[in-house]
Amino acid sequence: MPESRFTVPLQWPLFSLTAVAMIIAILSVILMFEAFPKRPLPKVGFVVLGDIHEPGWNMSNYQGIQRACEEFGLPLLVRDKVPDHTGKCAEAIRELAADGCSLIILASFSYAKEARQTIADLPKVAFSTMSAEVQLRNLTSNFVRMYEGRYLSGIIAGQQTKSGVIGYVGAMPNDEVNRGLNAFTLGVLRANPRAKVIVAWTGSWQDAAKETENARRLVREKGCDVLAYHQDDAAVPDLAEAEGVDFIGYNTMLFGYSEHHLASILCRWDIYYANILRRFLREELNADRINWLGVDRGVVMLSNYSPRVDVETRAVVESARMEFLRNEVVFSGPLKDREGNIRCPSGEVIADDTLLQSMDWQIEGVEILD
Amino acid sequence: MTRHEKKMRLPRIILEIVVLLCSLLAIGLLVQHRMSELLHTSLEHSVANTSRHVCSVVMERLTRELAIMRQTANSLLNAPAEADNTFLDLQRQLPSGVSIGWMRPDGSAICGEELWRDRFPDFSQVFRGNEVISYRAGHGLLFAVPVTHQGNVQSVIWRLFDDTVLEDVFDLAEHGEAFLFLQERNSRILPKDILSAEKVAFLESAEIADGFDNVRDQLALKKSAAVLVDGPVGKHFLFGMNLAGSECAIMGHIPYTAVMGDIPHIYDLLIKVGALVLGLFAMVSIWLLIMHAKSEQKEISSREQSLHEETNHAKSAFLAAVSHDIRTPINVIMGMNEMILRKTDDAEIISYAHGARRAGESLIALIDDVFDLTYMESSGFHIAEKPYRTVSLIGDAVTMIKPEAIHKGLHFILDVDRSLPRELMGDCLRIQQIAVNLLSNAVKYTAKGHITFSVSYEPLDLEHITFIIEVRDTGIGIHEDDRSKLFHSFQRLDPMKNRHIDGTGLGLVITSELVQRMQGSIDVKSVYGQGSVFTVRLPQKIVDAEPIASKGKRPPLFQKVTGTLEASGASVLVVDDNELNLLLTKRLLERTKMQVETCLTGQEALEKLAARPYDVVLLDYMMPMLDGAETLRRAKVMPTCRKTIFIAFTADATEETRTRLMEEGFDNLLTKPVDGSKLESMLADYVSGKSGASQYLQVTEPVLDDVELDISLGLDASAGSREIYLELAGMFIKQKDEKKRALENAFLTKDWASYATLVHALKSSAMSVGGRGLIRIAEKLEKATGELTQKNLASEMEELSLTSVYAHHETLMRYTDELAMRLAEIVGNEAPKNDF
Repeated sequence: MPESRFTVPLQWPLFSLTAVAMIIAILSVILMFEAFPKRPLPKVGFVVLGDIHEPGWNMSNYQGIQRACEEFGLPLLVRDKVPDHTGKCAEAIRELAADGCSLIILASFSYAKEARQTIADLPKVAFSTMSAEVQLRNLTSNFVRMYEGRYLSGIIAGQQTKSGVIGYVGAMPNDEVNRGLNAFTLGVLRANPRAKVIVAWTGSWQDAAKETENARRLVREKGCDVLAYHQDDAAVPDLAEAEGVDFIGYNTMLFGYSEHHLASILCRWDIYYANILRRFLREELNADRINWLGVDRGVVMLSNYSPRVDVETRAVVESARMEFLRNEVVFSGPLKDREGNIRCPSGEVIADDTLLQSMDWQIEGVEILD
Repeated sequence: MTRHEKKMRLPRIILEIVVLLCSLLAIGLLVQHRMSELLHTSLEHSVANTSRHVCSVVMERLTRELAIMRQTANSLLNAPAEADNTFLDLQRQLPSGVSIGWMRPDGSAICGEELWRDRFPDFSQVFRGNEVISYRAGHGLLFAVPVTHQGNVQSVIWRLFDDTVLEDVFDLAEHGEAFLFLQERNSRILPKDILSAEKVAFLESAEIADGFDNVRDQLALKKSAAVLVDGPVGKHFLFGMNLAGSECAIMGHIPYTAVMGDIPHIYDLLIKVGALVLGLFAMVSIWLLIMHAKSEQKEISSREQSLHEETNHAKSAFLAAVSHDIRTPINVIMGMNEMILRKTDDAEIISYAHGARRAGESLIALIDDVFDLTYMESSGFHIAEKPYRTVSLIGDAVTMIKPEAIHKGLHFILDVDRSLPRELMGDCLRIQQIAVNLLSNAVKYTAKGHITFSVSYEPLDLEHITFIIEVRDTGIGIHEDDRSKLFHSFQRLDPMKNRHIDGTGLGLVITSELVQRMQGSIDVKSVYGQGSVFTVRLPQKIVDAEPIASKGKRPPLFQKVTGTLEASGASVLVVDDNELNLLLTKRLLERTKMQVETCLTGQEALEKLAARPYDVVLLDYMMPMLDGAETLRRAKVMPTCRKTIFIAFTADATEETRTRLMEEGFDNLLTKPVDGSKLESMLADYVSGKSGASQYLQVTEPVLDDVELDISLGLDASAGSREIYLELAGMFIKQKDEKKRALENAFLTKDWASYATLVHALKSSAMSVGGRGLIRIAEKLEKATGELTQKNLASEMEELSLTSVYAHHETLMRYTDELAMRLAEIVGNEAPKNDF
């Protein structure tokens, strides 16, 4: 008897432990089972020209994509300091694709053209770019209707000018710059039909000395009392401050300037990229070849109104903005170019494709500084 | 403790089973839940994927529609002159529910219907030169393409399909078992115009609406999505997919059963089979548990069994030891008594010694009782069957009990069926024990009256009979209530009343046990205060069917030859730790003239054995230090002991012991107390060849009946001489009639003094020829008449003595005749062999 009294209590806990372990094992197998191994979140690749920590285009784009990725919880892989026309871009794209990126954003105008073959070789990867020169099934151009912002800033400039002469420092007369210049001019003319816009080309996206010189000439030679510009750096605001004239900022938030800083045209890159990501997730990103994002989507806006911009002006700007929201367009006929040719007859509207690819003219009311 | 544990085990097994079943049930439910969850998720995925294909098909149709419109736009551009007519033609061909329009960017219609720009959210895109597909619940599906000239949007054409025609044109709505409809993204508005009230109610029910909200939420970041909803009309999959390039989505639902097909049945089957397998598993587990418990129980009971056996063994050993220790002093007493009987001629001393012997015998009987019972209770007891003579069985029993009964003043009536077979097969000793037990009980519990000992039989078949022993007494009887206790160990009935009666109370227990072992039955009838009748019925096999009453075949007296041995050349070593035993044995062997040496320990014996060879060694089996077995083992290897015979002395005379001792190497064994004649006869077997071994005097084994003729006693009186004995016998026969006549006279005249003298003389004569029965009866009469001759005898005593004389006188006369008759037979038989 004593033996059995020993053996039974020894076996009982052993048996119980085994049973409990078995039950736990069964439960964990049941609970751990995943019929559909969770598909990893799609990774987003981002290729950009300069240093992402360098204020300006690079940094504002990077911050935009970063915020958008955070919004959707997508991992972001960045390849910065990828100069164009060196083949580095194709290399970066291949690397990102190898790292598992299913969406790659090319944040420079010339990348798509340069890496065309590489993009075509990766049909399962979706690409987003900013130029319309290349057409591929897996590539979509996402444009910002920045010209709508210029149109609004033009209204301010038109309202604000005393001399009726507004200076515009532009990089070069290409489609994009022309589009902005023409929209700006239309805005100016809406506020002040007798005003004119004088444009001075620098020939470069970034040439502070030339920009400063042009701006100075516009003020001193032409008597411009409001300056606007289409350049990658902020040389014009500095000159305007020095000369004591008003100016319209562009592309980045400007801080530390006086009341001469009337307003800035801003692109909300975070909204822009969020829109791209959303369409990517819905698998309809590449359904369109071209996609425009403007004031109506909140991508383009004006900010930093100077106290010198009066309420009346602000009201006019606001009503123009409301027109955009109601799908009114900037370029509706009748429109003539500088030479007096009708570019858009009355009752017609310039198509988006034309805006993108055929804006090789300056609108009536624009003068060019020799 | 065992029972307690068994009681504990049952609830524990039930608990184990309950826990097991609960776990299995829980796991089963969990598995089922998990399985259906996984199944549903999987189906949601698959429905969502399937809906993508639907989406592609629809998209294709929409794109085709756009392509047609693009073509129209081109034709309008290429032939502006005929444009109006072309368009009007188109308009005429339109089916109902479809409308078209041609309008300028400022919203004014060129041709066809006017369309308010803001009615469709995406419509304005067409004025920027983009193609548009747009849907608005209640308004329909709109297609619009720009008519572009030189990069400028000149005009726009559109085509609008009402909700009502969408079903037909784009194969929406009922689509097999599925139902499809268009909806603006992020809008809950339903195209109610085309939906039946029933359908609207279904789509607007809380569960379905919530389900679609869920789908819409998923569609914000997915191309397609599906959820399973348990709605008011069963389970349904709700699904949706975004139409790329337009701000609308195709939504739909399909019944669960349509998607599942036969899967639920298969699933049911799986669950059922799984449940059965689990059940089987549970059954097997329970079975194993039960088997486990059973084997444990078995183990315990076998352990108990072995423990029990061990205990029994220990008990046997203990009893053997006790028996030995008690028998040894009795042995000495009996032996000494035997010596007195042999050495004295004084009849009075002889009669005292006889009394002492009887007391010793009853003491041994008592020990035997105790030993028998415990021995029977332990294993190893068996009934030893061999042929026996019925007469000697009955005679022995009577011899043992009758004197007691008579002594107690009871009438002892012997009633034997004269046709009883002469020889039967059975355990004579045990049957005798049964009879003696019943008889001695009767004597014990009967104060006055008579005891009747009836022996009869009933034939069973040619070879078997039922041997019937019936003992009837006029004793105190047995209460009805007590009868059940009768055969239980250590139960004395009516203890207060019977406390003066000695005995262990084991007699009836042993009796009933023995009867059962012999496949017999025992029956009691009793009237309390009037007496009892015990009837034992035993089946026995017939060996010799000749009735006992047939005089012609009286067995020969010298049936078994024993002897008085003289062997002066033989040497005997007696080893015993009890000095008195040594003395007794030595005395018993004196007559044989053997060279007897004694020693007290095994060690001493070994020394002696090493010194010289002995013919026989009588070795006490139980000795301190070196016991009999060990002494034997050591002695056997000695060269001096090669021819030595070893006989063991043991108090324990069971078959078991005999076998064991033989195995250990003893040649034979003698039980204590040592019986002189047995000792001699046994030694004779071994030393017969020795020089000086001669003079076998043949005597008869005493055939005891009422007369109790004991020739050895007679021979003792004749100093072992046969001649003298025969002479004395002749004398007894001659004087018989004369003595009888004198006694009869004294009896009739009540001359008790003369009677006493005469009866004393008769007793002496009886002693010289060994007529024990006569001696005993003569003693009683001598004593009774002696008392009667005393003066101032109390009247009660006188009456008692008189009763005794009257009771025994007739017997004395009969015994004298019978003894004379028996002696005459001996003398007659022996006469021709006188020269022996």
